[in-house]
Amino acid sequence: MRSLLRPLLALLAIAAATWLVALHALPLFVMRVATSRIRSGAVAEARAAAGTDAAASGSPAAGPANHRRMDPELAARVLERDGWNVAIPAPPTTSDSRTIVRPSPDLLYAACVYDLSAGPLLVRAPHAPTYLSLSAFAENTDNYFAANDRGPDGTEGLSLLLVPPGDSSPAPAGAAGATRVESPSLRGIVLARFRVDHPDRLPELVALQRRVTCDPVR
Amino acid sequence: MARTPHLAKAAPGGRRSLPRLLATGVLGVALGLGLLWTSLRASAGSVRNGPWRTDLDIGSTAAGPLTRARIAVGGLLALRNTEAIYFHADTDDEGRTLDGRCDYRVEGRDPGSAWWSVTLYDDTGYLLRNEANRWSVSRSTVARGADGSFSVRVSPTGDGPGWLPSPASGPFNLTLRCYEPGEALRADPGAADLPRIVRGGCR
Repeated sequence: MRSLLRPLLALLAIAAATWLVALHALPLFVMRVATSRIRSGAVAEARAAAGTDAAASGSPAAGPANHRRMDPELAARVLERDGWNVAIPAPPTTSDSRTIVRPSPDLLYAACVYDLSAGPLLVRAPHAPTYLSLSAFAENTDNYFAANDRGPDGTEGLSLLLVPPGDSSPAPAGAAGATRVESPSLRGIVLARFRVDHPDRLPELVALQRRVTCDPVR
Repeated sequence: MARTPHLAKAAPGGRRSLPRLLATGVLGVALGLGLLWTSLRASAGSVRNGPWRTDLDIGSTAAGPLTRARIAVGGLLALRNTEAIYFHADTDDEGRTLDGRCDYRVEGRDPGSAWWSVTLYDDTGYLLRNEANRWSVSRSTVARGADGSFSVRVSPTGDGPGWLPSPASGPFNLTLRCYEPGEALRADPGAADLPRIVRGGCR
């Protein structure tokens, strides 16, 4: 009896511990995979645009046909920062979009995968005639900040000063007027969502999406 | 395998103790991961409204570990409920799994939010390839009756603004996104007037 009970108890204890550890590790793991996919996709696109990757140029790696080649200036920034701390416009959502699960075909996304260890970032997104939201997610997936441009504060677009956890230094001069938000973790992601209420509106909204910036600020 | 007499003494009948220990460990880990997988599948949102399910803790820093893990897997980067409420359905009004071999109607009125959309996903959570490149209907694009109500036909074949393409076979699911939800919707999403999902003919 006792010889059966002990391994059974051990089995249950190990199962419970595994369950608990995996449950808490899962969001961090999924977030890390998703953000590194966004970064590596941007780096591949930037290489293709900069012509440094001969094999990739002219290949479908640069995205669907309706997605322009990455702007050379943006490509240079993406390569210089290895995909961190830079606003990356995603191609319009289609059935080819596989980076993040359950993408919305009614939204145009721009993402900034951040690491605040070198200091704050300033994120800016222009006002949209349809709807724009800026949201920030910690490394454990928590959506600790969300705002949209529908209110009186959004008529000039949205700007966000993202500071590292525990940072109490005064706002840098370059960030005047930005909403100061403290990230609970050094790493995370900021998303801009532009609503595409009608396909005809796509070119106009793509132009706005490309004006989203995410840069270090002093 | 060399064993010290001390160990042999401590574990009577211990010739099998190491393999047994290993087996217990492997089984325990497998059982734990299996339980996690099942609990993530089972906990599809605590608030029910007809076939729709949601959870007000989505994205919130108040989310429990189970909600957080479920969102990480099924809807990473979902917004918290001040910005959007996400309802998810994988069955019709009568609880039958949404199946590509059947036609459905999604019908109702605007839920209490500034904007909404209904998007169809395959069972892996991605958009379905279709010739019309149509994956959703929204407040802006849906076809309405004279009284403002809408009725969307979910079917593998169709045409026009009232059609949402579904797969020819196999399970699929729907996500209702309500952006800038009103006070009433946020206070009690379980009581909101959400679209019905009515099954029509099956092939």
